[in-house]
Amino acid sequence: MTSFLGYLLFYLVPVIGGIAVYLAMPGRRRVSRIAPVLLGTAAIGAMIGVVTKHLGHSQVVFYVLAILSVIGAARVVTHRKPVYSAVYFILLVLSVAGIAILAGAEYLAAALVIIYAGAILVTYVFVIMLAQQSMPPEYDTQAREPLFSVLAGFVLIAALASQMVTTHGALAEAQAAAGTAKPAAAAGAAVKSWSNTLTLGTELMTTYTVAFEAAGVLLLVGIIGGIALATRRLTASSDQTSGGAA
Amino acid sequence: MIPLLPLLGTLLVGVFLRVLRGRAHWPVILGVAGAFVVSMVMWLTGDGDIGPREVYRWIPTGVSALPNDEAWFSIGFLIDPLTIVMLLTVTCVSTLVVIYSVGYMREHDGQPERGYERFFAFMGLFVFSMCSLVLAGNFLLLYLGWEAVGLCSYLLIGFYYQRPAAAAAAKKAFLVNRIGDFGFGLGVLLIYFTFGSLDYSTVFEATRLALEGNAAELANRHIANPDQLIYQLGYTHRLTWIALLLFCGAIGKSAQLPLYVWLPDAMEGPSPVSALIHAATMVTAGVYMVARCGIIFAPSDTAMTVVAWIGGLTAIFSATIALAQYDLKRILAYSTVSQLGYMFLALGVAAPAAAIFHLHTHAFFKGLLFLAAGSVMHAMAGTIDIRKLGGLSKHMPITCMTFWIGGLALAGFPLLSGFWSKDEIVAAALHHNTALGVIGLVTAVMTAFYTFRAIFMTFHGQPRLPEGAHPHEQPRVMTWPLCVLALGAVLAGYWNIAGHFAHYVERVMTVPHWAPEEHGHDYAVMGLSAVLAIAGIAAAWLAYNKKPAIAEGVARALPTAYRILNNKWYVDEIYDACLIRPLRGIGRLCWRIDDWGIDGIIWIVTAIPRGTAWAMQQSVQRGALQGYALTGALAIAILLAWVLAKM
Amino acid sequence: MMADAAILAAFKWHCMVLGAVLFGLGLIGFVARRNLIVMFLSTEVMLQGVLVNLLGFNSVYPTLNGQSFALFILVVAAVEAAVGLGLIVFLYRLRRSLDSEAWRSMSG
Repeated sequence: MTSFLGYLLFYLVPVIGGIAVYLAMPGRRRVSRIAPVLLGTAAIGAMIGVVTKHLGHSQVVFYVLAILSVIGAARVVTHRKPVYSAVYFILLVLSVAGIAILAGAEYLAAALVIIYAGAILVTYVFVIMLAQQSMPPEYDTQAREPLFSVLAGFVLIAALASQMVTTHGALAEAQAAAGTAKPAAAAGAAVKSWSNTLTLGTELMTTYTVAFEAAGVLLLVGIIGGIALATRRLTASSDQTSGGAA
Repeated sequence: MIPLLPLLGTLLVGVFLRVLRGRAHWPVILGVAGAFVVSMVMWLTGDGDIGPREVYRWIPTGVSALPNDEAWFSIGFLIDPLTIVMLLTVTCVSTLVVIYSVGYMREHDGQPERGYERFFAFMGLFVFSMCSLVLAGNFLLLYLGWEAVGLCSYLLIGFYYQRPAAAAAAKKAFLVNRIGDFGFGLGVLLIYFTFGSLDYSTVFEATRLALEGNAAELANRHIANPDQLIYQLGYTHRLTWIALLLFCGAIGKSAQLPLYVWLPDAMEGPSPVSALIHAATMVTAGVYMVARCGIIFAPSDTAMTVVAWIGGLTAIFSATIALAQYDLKRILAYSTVSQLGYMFLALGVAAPAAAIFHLHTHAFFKGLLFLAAGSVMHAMAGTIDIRKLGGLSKHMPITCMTFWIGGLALAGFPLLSGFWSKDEIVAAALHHNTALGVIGLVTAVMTAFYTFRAIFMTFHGQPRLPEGAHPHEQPRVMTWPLCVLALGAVLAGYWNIAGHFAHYVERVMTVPHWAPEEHGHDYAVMGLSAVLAIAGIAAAWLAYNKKPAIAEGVARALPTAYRILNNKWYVDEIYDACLIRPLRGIGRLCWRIDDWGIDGIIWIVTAIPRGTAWAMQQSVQRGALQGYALTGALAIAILLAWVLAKM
Repeated sequence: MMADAAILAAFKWHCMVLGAVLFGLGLIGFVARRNLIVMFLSTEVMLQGVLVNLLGFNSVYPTLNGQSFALFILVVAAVEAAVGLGLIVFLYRLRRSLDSEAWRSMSG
C-alpha cells in the first residue's frame, strides 16, 4: 500500500499548496502572515518528496532552482504591490535561466536574462511607476474570486502532475525494453564539439529560416504597433461607457 | 391539341404582360378562336368518332392487371360526339365572349381597365381548363379540369379584388364548390377502388359487362376479380354510391339546390365572366359529367330519382326567387340556376340528349343575355338595378333587340331555340313522372314572367335613370358578338330537326335503362308550353309595362311572400347561422387551444432552459473578462482531471 | 552535462512537473488579480512554465527543436509584452485606473 499512500500524498500536496496560495492572496482580511509560508513550505517539500520517489532523482542544483522559481511565481501572483511582483518575476526568470543551463541551452539562458530581466521587466517597472497612485489602491489589495481561481489552478496542476506520475511507470518499462538509444544519439550530437550557440544559430538559419524571418516580421509589426499606440490621441468619443452590471 | 391553343394564349399574355398592355387580348383571342376552328374541323371531317386516345403517360401506379405492363394514369382524351358537341359549344361561345370583352373591359374613354392583361390571361386559362375537362378520357383528367375551372372561376369572380364584395364572392364560390368537389373526389376514388382504373373506356365497358354478368369478357379486358365486380355492381349499392358522390360534385359545380348559393354572388365578376363561366360553360360541366357517366347513373333508380328531383326543385325554387329580384344580373343568375335544374331534370328522367341539347341552346341565349346585360351595365356606368333603369330601348337599340331575342328564347317562345330544347325536357318529364312535368311547366311560366319583367323594366316604360347617366350604344366590338349569339339563339334549335342532334349524341349513350325513347315531337306538350310562354310574357307586359300599379299592388298585398322571395328565402342567412357560425366558433376554439394550451405547455417546458440561462447570466456573465477566463479555466481544469482520471 | 541516463529521464519529468506548477500558478494570478499589470505579468509566468517544459523535452532529444521553439516563444513574448503594455498605458489614460473591473461593457 505504499504506492497508494504515495498517490494519496500526491493528491494532498496540491491541496495544501492551494490552501497556502489562497491564504496568501491579497484579501480583505489576512488570517496570518505565517500560515501561508508554513503551508507553502510543507507543500513544496512534500511535492519534491513525492516526485523524487516516483520519478527518480535529478541534480541537486535543479531542486534548488526549482524551489526558487516556485517561490518566485507564487509571490508574483500573491503580492500586494505590483513592483514586488515584478521583482519576484525577475527571480523566476533567473531560476528558469539556470534550469536552461542545466538543460544544455546556454544561449537560451542568456537570452532569457537579457531580454526578459533586462528589457521586458524594465518596461514593466516603468509602466508600474507611470501608473502609480499615492496609496495602494483597492484593486491591488483585493483579489477577485480567490477561491475559484485557486481551485482552477490547482486542479489543473494536480491533473497534469498526477498524469505524469502514472504514465511514468508505463513509459519506464518501455524505455527499459527499447534500450538506451537516445542518450547515445545525444552523445553523438555533442561529439561535434560545437557550442550550443553555434548549433542553435545554425539551426535557426537552416531549418527554421522561415520561422526566423517571420519572427523578424513580428518584431517589426510590434514596433509599428507600439508607435501607433503611443501617438494616438485621446478624444472624447473614444471614451466608452462601462457596462452596468450590478 | 385543342386545349393547348388557349393555354398558349394565356402563357403568352402572362409572360408578356408589360409589353402587351392594351393589346393583351390578341394572343387569347387567337388561341380560343383557333381552338374553335380546330373543333369545327374535327367535327366536319368526321373525326368525331376517334374514340379514346392517349396523349401522355403520366403517373405510374405500379399496379396492373395487365401482364408485363405497368398501369399508368395517363393524360388521355376521349373524342366522341358528346365531346364534339361540348367542344363546339364551349369554343364558339368563348370566342364570342372574348371578343366582346375587348370592348367591355375598357373605361368610358376607351382605355383598357386596370388588370386588362390579367383578365385575358385568366380567360385563356379558363378555356384551356374547360377544354381539358371536356376532352378528358379518364376521371383523373376530368377532376383536374374540374378543379381548374373552379380555380379560374375564383380568379375571375374576384377579378375586382379590391372590392370586398367581390373577394368574398370569389371565396364563397370556391368554398361551396369545394364542398361539392369533396363528394366528387370520393366518387372518383370509389371508382378507382371498384374498377381498378380511371379510364372512361375501361370503366364504362366494365360496368356494362358487369351488369350483363359477362365474367368471361371482363376477364378478357383484364379486369381483376370479375366476379367480385359483377357482384358489387349488380347486388350491392356500389353503383348508386358512386353515382351520388359524383352528383355531389355536379351539385356544387352546377349550382343545384343546396349548393347554389355561390352563383348569384358570383355576379360580382365582370359580365363576360358571368356570361362565359356561369351561364354557358363551367356550370354546365356538371351536366356534361352526368351525361358522360350515364352508364353509371342509369342503372341506379335511386340516383336517377335524386338527380331528377333535385333538378326539378332547383328549377322551381330559383325561379321563385328571380321573381322578386331587382339586380338584372342576379335575375339572370337565378335563371341560370333554374335552367340548369331543367337539364338535370332531363338527365334524371332518362333524356340525356334533351339535357345536352338544352345545354347547347342555353349556352347561346344565356350567354347572349349576360353579354347584353353587361352592355347595359357598361353604358350605365355600373348601375344594374332595374328600378333605376327604363326606356333604354331608345338609346341602345341593338342591345335591346338582342336582349329581346335572348329573352324570348329563354322563355321558350315558339320557334326559337329555347322552345325546342325546353319542350323536349318537359315532354320527357311528363312521360316519366307527372309531378316533375308539372313542376317543369310551372317553372316555364315563371321563367317567361320574370324574364320579361326584367326586359320591360329595363328597356321600356318611363325612364327612371339616375342623374348624369347618358346611356349610349356600345361599340361594335361589343355589339357584333351580341348579334352573332342572337343568331345562334334563334337557329341553334334547328339542330334537332328530325332528331338529328339527339341521334348524333345518343350514339354515345346507348346504355341499358337509358335507351332513348323514340318519341316523336310531342305536339300536345309543344302547344301547351308555347301557350304558357306567351301567357307569361303577356302577364309581364301587363304588370310592368301597361299598368305598373299592378306589380306594386301585388307586392303590397302579399308582403311576407314578397319579403321572403326578395331575400332569397333567407337561404344565405340560414346557412350562415347553422353552418358558418358554428364552424367559425370551432375554429376560434381550436385557435384558443393552440394559443393558450399548446403554447402554454411550450412556455412551461421552455421555462427551464430560460430560467437556467437567466440564472447563469446573472451569476457568470458580469462583463469582466477575467471572470470569463476563470470560468473557462475552471471548466478546462475539471474536464481534464476527469478525463485523465478515467484513462 | 547529461552523463547519466536515469538522471536525464528524471530531469525531463521534473521539468514537466515544474512547468505544470508554474503554469498553474500563472493561471491563478491571471484570473485572480485585479491589477492589469499583475495580470499581464502572470501570463508571462505561464509562458515561463511552458519554457521549462520545452527545455525538459529538449534534454532528451538529439535535435534542437525544443530550444528553437523556446526561442521563438521568447520573441513572441517580448512583442506581446511591448504591445500589451502600450495598450495598458492607453487604457490607463482612459480610465485613470489600472483596475480590470473598470472595463465591464461585455455584461449580459
